Amino acid sequence: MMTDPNSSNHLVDFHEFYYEEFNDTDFSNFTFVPDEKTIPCSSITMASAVNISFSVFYVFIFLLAIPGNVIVGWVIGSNRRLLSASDVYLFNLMLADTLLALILPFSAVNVIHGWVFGNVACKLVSLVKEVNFYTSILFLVCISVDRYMVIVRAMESQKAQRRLCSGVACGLVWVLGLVLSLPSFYNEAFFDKRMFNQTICAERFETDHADEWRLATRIMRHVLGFALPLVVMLSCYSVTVVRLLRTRCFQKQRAMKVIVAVVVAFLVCWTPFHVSTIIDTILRAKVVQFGCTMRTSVEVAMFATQNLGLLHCCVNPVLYAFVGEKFRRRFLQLLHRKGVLERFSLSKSSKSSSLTSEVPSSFL
Amino acid sequence: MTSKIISVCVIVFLAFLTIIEGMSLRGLAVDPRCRCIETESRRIGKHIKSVELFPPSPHCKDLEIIATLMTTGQEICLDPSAPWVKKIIDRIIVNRKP
Repeated sequence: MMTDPNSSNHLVDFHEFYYEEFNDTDFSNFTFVPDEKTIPCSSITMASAVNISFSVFYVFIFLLAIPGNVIVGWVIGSNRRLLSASDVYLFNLMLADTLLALILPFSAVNVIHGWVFGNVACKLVSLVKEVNFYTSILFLVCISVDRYMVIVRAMESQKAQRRLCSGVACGLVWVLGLVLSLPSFYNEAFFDKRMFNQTICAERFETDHADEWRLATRIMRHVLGFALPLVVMLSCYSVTVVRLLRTRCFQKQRAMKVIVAVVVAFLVCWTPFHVSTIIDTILRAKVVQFGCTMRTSVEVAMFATQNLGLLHCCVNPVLYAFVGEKFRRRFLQLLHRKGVLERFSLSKSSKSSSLTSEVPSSFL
Repeated sequence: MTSKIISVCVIVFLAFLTIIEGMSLRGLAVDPRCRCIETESRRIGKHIKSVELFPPSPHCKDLEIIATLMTTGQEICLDPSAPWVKKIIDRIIVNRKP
């Protein structure tokens, strides 16, 4: 039936059909000027340089994120006996970011050639993106709750118990992230003739209920993947910061700097995505009047903000390196232990005894 | 050490740019959606060269009829509910049957 999709819906010999059907001899002097609003919107056609730039951007993030996160994992893992609950959460956050980074090469090829990896890879890549989306913010929520428990509720003495709880919490977060990401299996590779005229990897719900499904998954992302976690985090941190300012505990205040930096980075990377998705949802519902220009602007915004979100997977290692004093010290200590920084051994020896006496986290 | 790493990265980037420069480039693929925002219902058949029908899909509930104009080659959206356009739709559907 659909052996030739190009001709089946295309009426090329329209002129013959028209005179045959309408016997139209009127309107001979009718001068038709198309209404600009009735011109169909085209897909975003970027200059070659832009496509290449995005592809290089993906590769660059990949090259930055993999070694960065591996170093983070190494620093945390090498300190296994002294792991704090926050370390466990940050380690899992590192895992989520590394997982996301591993799929960036797919995006690099996709932006140039369209989707050439088939259906299974399409579903898996979409699943990884979705899982990272949920687990990243949920791990940050775990950290904020943990900080609240330690600083406000003074649960410092039960460190071993907290670490066990953090292990269980991480398992629950991964399971929850996986469950919330199941709608991503609706993504599949298909040839889109309407807009892109190439094979793409995108959500493809049943035609009759596509709008309802899309709306449901988006609301779930906004509420469970952003708004609710944000409320919990801001609540915990506002109480925690107030308490810290009251007690003047320098060490804990310094620890909070790293966490605040991580949270701010997350919000900077992901808030624009939620805003542009909400606008896109409003446009799709045709609640407001709009033209091609606005529609195209929203499409560009959606694409740009998604990439800003992807950028998040290489941001945390950079933050640890610049904001986390103890991370740097710990990292240099490891390098020294491995003999990489042999010449610095003399200057570090005086500090090593004080470092040994310190029990707390590699980061906080 | 650092300079070596930077050199390797730069070389990789340049090689990558060289490779992809020769490949064909496409538009950015984001979620597909409807192409027609408003439609033309006036009877403009004399000005049309060809017509293409886009059935409803998961990404666009609307049935979209896009005509290519004769003189300019410009595309324009036709109103699927207009009687004269319905005849075009019927013809396309008939053509589709084996």
